[in-house]
Amino acid sequence: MVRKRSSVKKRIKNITAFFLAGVMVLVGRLGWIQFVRGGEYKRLAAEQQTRDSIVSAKRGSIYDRNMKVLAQSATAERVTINPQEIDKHKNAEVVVETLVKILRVDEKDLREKIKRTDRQSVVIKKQVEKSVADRIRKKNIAGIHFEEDSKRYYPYGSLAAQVIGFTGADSQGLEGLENVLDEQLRGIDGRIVAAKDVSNNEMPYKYENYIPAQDGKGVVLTIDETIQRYTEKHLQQAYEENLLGNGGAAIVMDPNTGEILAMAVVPTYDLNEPRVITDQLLLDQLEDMELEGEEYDKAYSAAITKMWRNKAVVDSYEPGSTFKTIVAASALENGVTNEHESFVCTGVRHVANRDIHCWKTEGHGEETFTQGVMNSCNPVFMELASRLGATRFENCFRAFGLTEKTGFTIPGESSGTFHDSLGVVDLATSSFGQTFTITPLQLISAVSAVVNGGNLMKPRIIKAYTDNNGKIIENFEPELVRNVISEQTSVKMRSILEQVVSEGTGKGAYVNGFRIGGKTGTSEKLPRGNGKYIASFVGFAPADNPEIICLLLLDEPRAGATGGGAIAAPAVGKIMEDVLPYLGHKPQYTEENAQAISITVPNIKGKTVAEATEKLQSLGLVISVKGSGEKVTTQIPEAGTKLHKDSVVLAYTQEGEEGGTAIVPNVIGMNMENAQTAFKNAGLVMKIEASGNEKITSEHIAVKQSPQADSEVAEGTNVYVKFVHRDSD
Amino acid sequence: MKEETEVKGKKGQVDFILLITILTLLLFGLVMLFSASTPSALQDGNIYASIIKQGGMSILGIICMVVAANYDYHYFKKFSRLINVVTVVLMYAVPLIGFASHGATRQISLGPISFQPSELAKFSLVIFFANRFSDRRTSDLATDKDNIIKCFGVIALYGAACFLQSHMSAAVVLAVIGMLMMIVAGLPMKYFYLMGGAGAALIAGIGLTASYRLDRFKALFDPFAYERGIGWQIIQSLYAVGSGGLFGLGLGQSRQKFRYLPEAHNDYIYAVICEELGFVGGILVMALFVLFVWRGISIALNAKDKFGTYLAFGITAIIGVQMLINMGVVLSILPSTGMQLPFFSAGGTSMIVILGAMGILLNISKSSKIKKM
Repeated sequence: MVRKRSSVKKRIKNITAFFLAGVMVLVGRLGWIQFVRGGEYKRLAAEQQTRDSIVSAKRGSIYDRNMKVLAQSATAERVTINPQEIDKHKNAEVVVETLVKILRVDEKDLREKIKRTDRQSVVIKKQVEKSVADRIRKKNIAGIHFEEDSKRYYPYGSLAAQVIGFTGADSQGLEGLENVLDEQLRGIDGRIVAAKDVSNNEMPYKYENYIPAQDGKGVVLTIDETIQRYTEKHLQQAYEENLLGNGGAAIVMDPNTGEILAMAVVPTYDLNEPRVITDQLLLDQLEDMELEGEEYDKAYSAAITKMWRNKAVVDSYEPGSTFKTIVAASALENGVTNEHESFVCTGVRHVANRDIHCWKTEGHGEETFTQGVMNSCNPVFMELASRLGATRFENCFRAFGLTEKTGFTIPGESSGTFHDSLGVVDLATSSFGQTFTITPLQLISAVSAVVNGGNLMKPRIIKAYTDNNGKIIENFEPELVRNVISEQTSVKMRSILEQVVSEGTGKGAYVNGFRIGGKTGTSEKLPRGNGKYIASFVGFAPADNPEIICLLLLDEPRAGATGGGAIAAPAVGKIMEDVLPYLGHKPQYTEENAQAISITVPNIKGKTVAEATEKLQSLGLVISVKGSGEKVTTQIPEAGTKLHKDSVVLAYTQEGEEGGTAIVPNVIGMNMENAQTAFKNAGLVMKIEASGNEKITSEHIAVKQSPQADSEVAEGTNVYVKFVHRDSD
Repeated sequence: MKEETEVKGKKGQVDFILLITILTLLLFGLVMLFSASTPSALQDGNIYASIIKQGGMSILGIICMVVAANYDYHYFKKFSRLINVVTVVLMYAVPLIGFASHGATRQISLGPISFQPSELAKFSLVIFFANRFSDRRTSDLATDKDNIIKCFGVIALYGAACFLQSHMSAAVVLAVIGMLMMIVAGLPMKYFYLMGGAGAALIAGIGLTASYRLDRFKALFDPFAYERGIGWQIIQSLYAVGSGGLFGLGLGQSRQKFRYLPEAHNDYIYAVICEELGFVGGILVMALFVLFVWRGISIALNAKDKFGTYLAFGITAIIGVQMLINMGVVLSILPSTGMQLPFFSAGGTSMIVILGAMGILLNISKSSKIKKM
């Protein structure tokens, strides 16, 4: 009995020992979980317990120099679904029907997303406008949710598209400045870390951490919306008239500060719809490729990528004769010639064992240095380059910043390619802008230095940063890269280049009343002889004290004329004609010009035909009598109108005869003979605008007319037309 | 007072350490229950709902404890058969007249309160075996095979009823307690191994009949593979315990109780304790249970008769075994079973029955020859 009782106790003690062993295991396990794995579990727990909501930073706006908004962000919504909720409510069909109809999303894709019942939130479409989201919200469908999102708007559509660029679905900058300045524009998202229970409701603790969002900075560009618009208008017109095969670009800059006032590229696109080609010429080109299906899609996206590219900064090209401005300036600066030195052009120059021709194969004959520049005479420049020698030539080339990137705020800026070692032939061809490449931006910066007094300025497009209220917080000042030529040389160059426009190959850019200087350029694209050209013109105004400089280039003109003087110069002229008055410049007519325009039409109503004729003739006007009456009953234009010399005044002598009007035909691109026929048919009178003493031949084409085509004018009105040699360079 | 409390083997007085331990566990349990139940109580609108209910049950339980402590435990020997017949009837009546809660029918309604017979069954079985093994005629488990079979038969009778109620944790406790008492009574170890093997086979068999039980077992080893399913509560428990560190997040500061832990105020209340009070709190709770077991075992070893020994051992074992299994589950050593932590988990019947049993234990301690303080 006692033995038995004690064995019971022994067994109880043994079992107790097992219990204690079990407790020790628990203690060990508890320590393991809390101390060894604790950190990890704690982190994972915190992850699931906290709701980390992003407080989106507002993306900064982009302004033009006058604080016009070029890009801004607005609140939009993100439509999401909760597959678990849809599964619970079994309303997949309604969800699909609604979302496909209103959001135009892919049905198959949407059904796949609904099947993902392991998730509570799947994004269906981002950046949905509130009005669209409201249409869905109104239907009150279980499982469809809305989150805050933001969408980028570009109020001016395609304005400066390749400069500004656009953002993607998550408001990240994809192209242009939106991309380069993404960090500044985007700001820093804030966060709200709040404790939540398993159903995503907030825990009743003050367990919240709020990190405010830092809104992105606003960016003020040096671009002027108005100048940009004018530039785009005329570039677009040149693009369409010349059926450019490879687009075109134009830069307008303040030569004294390097500030870009406009930068346009064609073909262009609407920043609000960057993936759609709207340009008819580009669409026609795609159509002409006769591709189908995938091939077409590939060509289409290649075309899109190309039209996004900022040709003015990214694409390097052979500048052709526009580069002669640099060579001329270098030659004057180095004293190897002067404005009055005489040269002889025979149309060819023998270099090493090769004959290198002038663009005018019959030669320019005897000409001064200034005339050589005006004629864009290649042999003159080959001679100058030869006098400078390879080393000095190359040093000048470097000094003008043509071997380095300008450091401009656009992605993918290139710096072109120059000869590693400059041989005699290379030196000769380089003198007229061939066998090396630079970018349009490099060229306009270099030419600015030629005409602004010799200072190479860093081209820039960012004027300032602002806070989110548009208040300037950081300003950028002009940056001088280096002084390249002397003030005297620059003065001489301005004068020479003004003559290029007033009397030389750059006549197309001449604008009555303004002093414009410039230089044409035409370069044949490689391989030579394929008939593909880049026509360009760089012009500045006012010629004596430049405030703006404009470079425009037209890549692969396909409508006949290919010369820079024929097609690029007139476009720059038109830009100048719009921009200069905008900048506050009033036309200053020369004596002859002023006289020509200042004839005031007298009142001839009630006068006899003979009296009227005498009166008008004495003032330098021409009368055109309509009808067989004796007295003038109506006159066009009315008395008081100011007319050019030799303008026609219509005198109607019978009631009811008056009112004959004509539509001005478009003669741009026509030769003189065809233009004359067109005007005759329209009942108008063609007047050839003065352009030096050059004889107009069938090789000359009309580059400018006034009034513009399609204007409605009185019959017999004079239309002034400017002709230049089609290959003039 | 000091003089008195140090008297050795003082007769007629309850074990003071035990009483203090019990009351400490009870109070501690109520405090933690209040903390753990707030999130779900908040949802129902009244944050005191749970604690008022549990507090009320505790008062009822303390009354039972006081009564039982002053009621000679030998009466239970007398009424053993009656108690067990009533318990078995109630157990088998549950599937017929009981009501469902949390997907299982384990409770029957007694007027305004619900009653869970399986809680009572644990103590009825202890009384049954204590009575049986203290009787010379039925105490032989070493050679009397008939007796062994009868004993296993009684365990099976209760176990089957639990199975009908889908109450596996109760079946496990009943089987383990019954087995432990039989071992103490001298059951040859070969039967233990035999039954242990059979039990394991049975559990495996039952496990295979319901794939969710098999998954629970698999989830134990790789909870993250079952993150959204059966692994969820294991992971949540680990997160809670792991977040605690040395001193915890502070009383009432558990985050996991916000319905990440599926049964924060019940099966997983120990996880909340570990999260709020850290390693220190977790160890403190274990220490209280160890203290309790030490006193319970001491009472059993020094009881004045065999019935007292068996009864005290059985009652102590119920608490100890449930605590081990519950904490084993919370610390993911054992598969999830739905075991409650005595004194802590919410549950009216359990509280009343446990406190009643504590009264019995205290009563045994009165006549026990232990060192009392």
